[in-house]
Amino acid sequence: MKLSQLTIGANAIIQSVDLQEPLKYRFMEIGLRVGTVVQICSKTLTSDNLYLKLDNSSCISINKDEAAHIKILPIDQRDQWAHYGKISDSHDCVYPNCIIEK
Amino acid sequence: MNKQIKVAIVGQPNVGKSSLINAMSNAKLHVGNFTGVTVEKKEVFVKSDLFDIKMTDLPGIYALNAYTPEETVAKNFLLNEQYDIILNVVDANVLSRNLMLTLQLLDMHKKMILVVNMIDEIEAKKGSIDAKKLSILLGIPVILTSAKTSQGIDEINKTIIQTYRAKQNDNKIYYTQKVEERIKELTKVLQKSPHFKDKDYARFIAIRLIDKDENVYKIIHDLPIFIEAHNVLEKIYSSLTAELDEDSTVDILSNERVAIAHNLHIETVNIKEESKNLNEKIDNLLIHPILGLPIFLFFMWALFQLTFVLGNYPMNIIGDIFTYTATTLADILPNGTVNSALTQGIIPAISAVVMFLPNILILFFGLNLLEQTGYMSRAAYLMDGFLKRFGLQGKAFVPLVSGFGCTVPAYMAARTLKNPKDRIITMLVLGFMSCGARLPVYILLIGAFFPTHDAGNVLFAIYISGAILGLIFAKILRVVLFKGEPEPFVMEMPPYRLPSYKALYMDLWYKTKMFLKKAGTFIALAALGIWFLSTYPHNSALEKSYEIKIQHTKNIQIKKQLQNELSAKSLEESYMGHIGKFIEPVFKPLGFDWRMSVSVIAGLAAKEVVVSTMATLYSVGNASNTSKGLIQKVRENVSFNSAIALLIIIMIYSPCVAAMSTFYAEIPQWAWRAFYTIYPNVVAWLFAYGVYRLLSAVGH
Repeated sequence: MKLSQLTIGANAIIQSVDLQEPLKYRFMEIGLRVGTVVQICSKTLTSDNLYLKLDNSSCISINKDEAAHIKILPIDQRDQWAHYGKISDSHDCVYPNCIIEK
Repeated sequence: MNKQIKVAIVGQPNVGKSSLINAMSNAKLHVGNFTGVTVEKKEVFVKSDLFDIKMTDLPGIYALNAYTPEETVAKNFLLNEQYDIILNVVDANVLSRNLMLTLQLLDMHKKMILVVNMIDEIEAKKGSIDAKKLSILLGIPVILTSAKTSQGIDEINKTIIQTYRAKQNDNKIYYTQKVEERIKELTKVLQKSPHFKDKDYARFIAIRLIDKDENVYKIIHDLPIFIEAHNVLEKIYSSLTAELDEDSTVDILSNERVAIAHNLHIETVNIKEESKNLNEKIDNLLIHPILGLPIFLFFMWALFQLTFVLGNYPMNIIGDIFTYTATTLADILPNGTVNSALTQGIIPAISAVVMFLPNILILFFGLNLLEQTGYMSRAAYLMDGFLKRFGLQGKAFVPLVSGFGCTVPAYMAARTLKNPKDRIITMLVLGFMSCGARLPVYILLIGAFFPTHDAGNVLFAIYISGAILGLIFAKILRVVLFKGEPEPFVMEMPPYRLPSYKALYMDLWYKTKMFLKKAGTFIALAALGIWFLSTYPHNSALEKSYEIKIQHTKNIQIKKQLQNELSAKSLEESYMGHIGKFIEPVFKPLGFDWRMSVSVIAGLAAKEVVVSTMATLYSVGNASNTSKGLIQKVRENVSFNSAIALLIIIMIYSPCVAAMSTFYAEIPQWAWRAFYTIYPNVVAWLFAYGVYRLLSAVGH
């Protein structure tokens, strides 16, 4: 499913961002990346623009055309918290392991 | 002299860098709650007992892979300039995302301090951030601050000095084994070059090259090491992407940083997830699909109503004070040059400008609220679809609205637009957004020709008409000269914040000071020049013949008429009269007399000069009306149709010299500079002529 098809209020996890460089990297820098939980808060009257909430914290706005290039996996509210729980319990995430010298 | 510590203030957009500097010093940097408030580097100095700290506030940058022109300013500074410490400011609310830049900065292996700003907002949510743990994990000092409440501000200066004195810490952040192996491989190759003998610098360059940083690639391109480094780099690109199953090494490094940032967040941040908060409730109304745009238009309408209605009271009082001063001085001072220069030149001109200060401040107050609350980004979101139909990008909304304040920073704000075509179109139509300096002319003409109860609506109509014209021209430019689609819209929506009253006060006070300074220097000098040109040379023969006539007349009415005739004839024979007569044919079809024509031309220096010039010319040219306000004089000397034509000219023609210089500095192409210099004036004249003829045809 594409992000542009997600209904208002529904949550999803981003699976892939298939955009050209450098826009793809700008999206990543602003928080739209694989593994991010995304919710559509609002759409403009013409549905040209989407108002998104990322990981239940920051908000951004993008065009519907670009949202059509973002693949998502819809989740319901309960699943969303489970997703967070998994990360915080295991200190694991969807990305490769990293090294932090303590 | 104290030793100087050079500090680069770096951070993602809208994390409160400028607010922090204002809190640390007496600086009055412009602040706002949206992305792209600071678009050029600014320097602020802070003195301590032993050191002078030179802080450079850089435009916000999401990552070292700069995307927009203003981000390039920050990146170029970081890569090419000399500084001792990086002060990395992050927003406590979105720490994980902000740490992505922190990790890239740590790759530079410079002395660094992390300032976690807006901690008050986390504490308000009963959350906390473990600064000590974060400091240990990152290997750099971490300070929790709030620029709003001044929490932790004093600690920053102390930490800067301590960090400056301490030796460089070892790197604590490493990537995964496969990536580290490639970094080491490339670092070794680079170290063969005398340019990269320093291991830490070579490592940073290696990381940037694997991260496909074009600027860094250009640096090594011209060096002898390039061929060897390029071959190794190509091998790294293909092997890493194949091994880790990613499209690009940029994705790989980005994913690694996300993982590190995420873990740092988990280790150090303790915050409960919120249910639906006030922010969302406000958003539900302000960005409502149907109500959003009407609400925005209502806000703008209310602002212009307030600008006129509320500003009218102090405006009249200030006008009366100046008129009284001029009349009193005219009576007290002996007749002659000083009397004339003061009462007919300088005082009317300064009065004509200063009396509109309250209106200008109300407008700026409204625009400041728009910027500080976070509504600006929402309005850009609402307007994007609409602007796109006219060939503009939604982000262009920010410079366009800033243009209602002043065109100079608005041109610079256009740097936030990545696509050069979007940027040039926006800058070419920015002049249609009437700046604050044009406000005095509008209020003067509206006050003279429209009833007070309609004045706010007329003012709103003028601003909206300018904006609509700008959109039409943007569409024409897009279709004719700049074919292609605007850059996709992507914008961060900051949380709503209560405006900082200190920042509001400081900003308005600074603007008042600058405005009065401009009125007391530039405008007073311009007025003196206009007065001189409109008073000299004296025609003794003419004056003598009229003096005899006046002396022999007993009727006071005829006496006054003769005095006015003398003033008008003297003015026509003055230098300014000759200049005006020379220009007059250009504006004659619009019904302008030579005095209006001169005022329009003088307005190219600064728009306030239009009213000050009119004030001087209508004072010098009429001996008996020193006691009358400027509005009354305009009503007597200018027809309604010409006033509307003048409004249109002021609305469209070239902005002031300062704004034009900024455009020339921002746009290097001579063709666009020439186009920009000519087309608004031609359009202004044609529109004004069309409306003037239309009004005459309907019998106005």
